[in-house]
Amino acid sequence: MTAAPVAPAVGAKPIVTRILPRWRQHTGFMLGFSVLVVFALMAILAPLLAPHDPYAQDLMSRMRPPVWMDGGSWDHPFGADQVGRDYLSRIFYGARISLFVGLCVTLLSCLIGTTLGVAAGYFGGRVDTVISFLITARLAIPVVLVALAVVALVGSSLQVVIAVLGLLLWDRFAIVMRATTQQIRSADFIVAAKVQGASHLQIVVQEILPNVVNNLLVVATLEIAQAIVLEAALSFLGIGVPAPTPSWGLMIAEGRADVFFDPWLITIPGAFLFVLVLATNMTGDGLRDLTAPEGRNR
Amino acid sequence: MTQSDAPIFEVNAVSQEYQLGSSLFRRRYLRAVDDVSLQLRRGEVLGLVGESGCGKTTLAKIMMGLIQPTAGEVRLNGKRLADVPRLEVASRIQYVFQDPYSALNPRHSVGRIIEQPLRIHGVGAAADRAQKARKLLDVVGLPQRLIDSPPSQLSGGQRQRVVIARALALRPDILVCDEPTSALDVSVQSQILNLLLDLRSEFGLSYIFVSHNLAVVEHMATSVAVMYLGRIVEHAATADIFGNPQHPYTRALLHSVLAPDPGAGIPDLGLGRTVPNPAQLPTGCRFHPRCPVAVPVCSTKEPARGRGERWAECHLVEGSASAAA
Ligand SMILES: Nc1ncnc2c1ncn2[C@@H]1O[C@H](COP(=O)(O)OP(=O)(O)OP(=O)(O)O)[C@@H](O)[C@H]1O
Ligand code: SF4
Ligand SMILES: [Mg+2]
Repeated sequence: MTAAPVAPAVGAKPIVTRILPRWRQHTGFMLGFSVLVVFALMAILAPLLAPHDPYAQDLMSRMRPPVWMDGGSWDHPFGADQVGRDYLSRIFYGARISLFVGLCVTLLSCLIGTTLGVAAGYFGGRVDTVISFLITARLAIPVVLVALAVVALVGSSLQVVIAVLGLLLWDRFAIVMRATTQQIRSADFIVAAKVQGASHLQIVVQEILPNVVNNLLVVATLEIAQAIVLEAALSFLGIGVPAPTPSWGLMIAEGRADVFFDPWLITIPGAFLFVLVLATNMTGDGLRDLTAPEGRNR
Repeated sequence: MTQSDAPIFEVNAVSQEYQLGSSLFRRRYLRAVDDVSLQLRRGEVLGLVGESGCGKTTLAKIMMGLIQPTAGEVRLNGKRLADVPRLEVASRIQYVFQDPYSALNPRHSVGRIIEQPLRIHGVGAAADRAQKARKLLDVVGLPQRLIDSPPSQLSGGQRQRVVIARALALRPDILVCDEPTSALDVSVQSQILNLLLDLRSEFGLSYIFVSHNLAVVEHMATSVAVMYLGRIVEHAATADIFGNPQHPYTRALLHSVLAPDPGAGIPDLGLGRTVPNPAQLPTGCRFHPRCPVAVPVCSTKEPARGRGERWAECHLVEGSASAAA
């Protein structure tokens, strides 16, 4: 079917195409997003980029310092750890763990938080009272303590870390979605959908979600950063990703003993963690500016 | 337009009370609609006029089934509205909003918005629906090129045409229009009103037409209900309301239309500064604090409830009202 000439549809297009002309001018977003892309490539291409097997131990290279220090060599650009595993390769593979945990946890908590938040904001009344109580209860639970208890019960693994964090980090999604849904639930276009006979599910999916997806994206980005930090923290405490998996948090923990003589064991994964989290947060902040109504961004 | 006798739509003794925060000792209620009965016959345009806050929107929402009235019932083709399935109600009676800016989802294109009712009702395949949407654009006089535009690129008048096209998609019998032109430029208002009149004959529609602009109601309506503090104080054919108004409130309204600035809603009625408060209804006739011709009985005894085709709830016209009918 050939369509008649069509006017450019600005508001109805997906968010990415709409912010395209503006995002180039937003330095923070551009910088953060570029770094994120680099890290993502690093994670995806880790098998190609890594000079060594991240698990292979080589006793001859134990505690080899990075190339910029005395005794370093290009064979191990970031040196090698206590059992002689190539540090650069472990950093690359560690990016995989960090991003994978960040994405999975965010997906899970986004699903839970959005469902609860939209339900509370849309239905109001008793539903809202119950869900608001759940949110308050959740905020009162210390994440690390729960993680400790769960790991004590079922043991630590990547799946457990993702499940525990995913089931605990939905609060921000719920709070933001509840507020944004409350704002639009009495708009006339929602009433119009009711008048047309739409079911609650149809109203939520077709009328409300398209209007809150921007906020969702912003929260999700910030939440990824939080999940990455928490995974590192749990791994550092020995209740996250189990050894010998290359996780940055675990690498920091393993370098703890040598912090005075070989601080690079900690500063290298620490710096990567710092940059990744910073970049994620900058992307999130940038998205918030860029998706705000015209004129509110810089 | 022929008007068959059985009403297609009835409002029977409907009341709506809003609870205004309950204090420790007593609950306060606001009676926004007070025992209202109205009928609509096929092809009729029932104008509903009254000052801001008199309960017009509340009544319109009760008619749409959006609010469950605290008393009384609404009947659609003789069946209680509450018993008619959701989708059937939607295909019989539709709503035209006052504010076309908030009535359209800013994230959807015009075509998507007009198709929405068809989607919800599972009418036809995607291509059929797009076809129908294009036809509806023609019907309401919008250019085809707007089909993929977001509402933000449309003017107020164009948006209201989209709202009307969407309301027509399911071929309803009744349109409830809640001040459909009051948010629009004066120059656009008459275009929208004439469109509504054209559609009435083209689609065999009946209207409930809410407005505070008497000139608009005179242009559109076949009969008029004048609302004051939640009650219909006068009801009559349009010609009778404008040619021979009975109720002192109707007279004051008509008088205000002759004032220099008729476009600005209901201006100063010359009825003093007593602002009507639906949370504290006056005793006796609810209009007596502002009535220029009130007699002593007005503040103690409520006028008899109106019924039939023509009435005015006023002690002074009680006898003549039944005589005139
Ligand atoms: N949800 C509500 N809760 C409490 N009071 C309400 C509610 N909705 C409306 N009211 C009150 O009911 C009365 C009638 O309101 P309504 O919106 O029906 O008036 P209206 O005639 O449509 O006025 P307008 O011309 O300004 O649109 C008003 O006094 C209003 O304050
Ligand atoms: S009943 Fe009395 S107060 Fe009420 S409108 Fe008639 S004259 Fe005025
Ligand atoms: Mg109103």
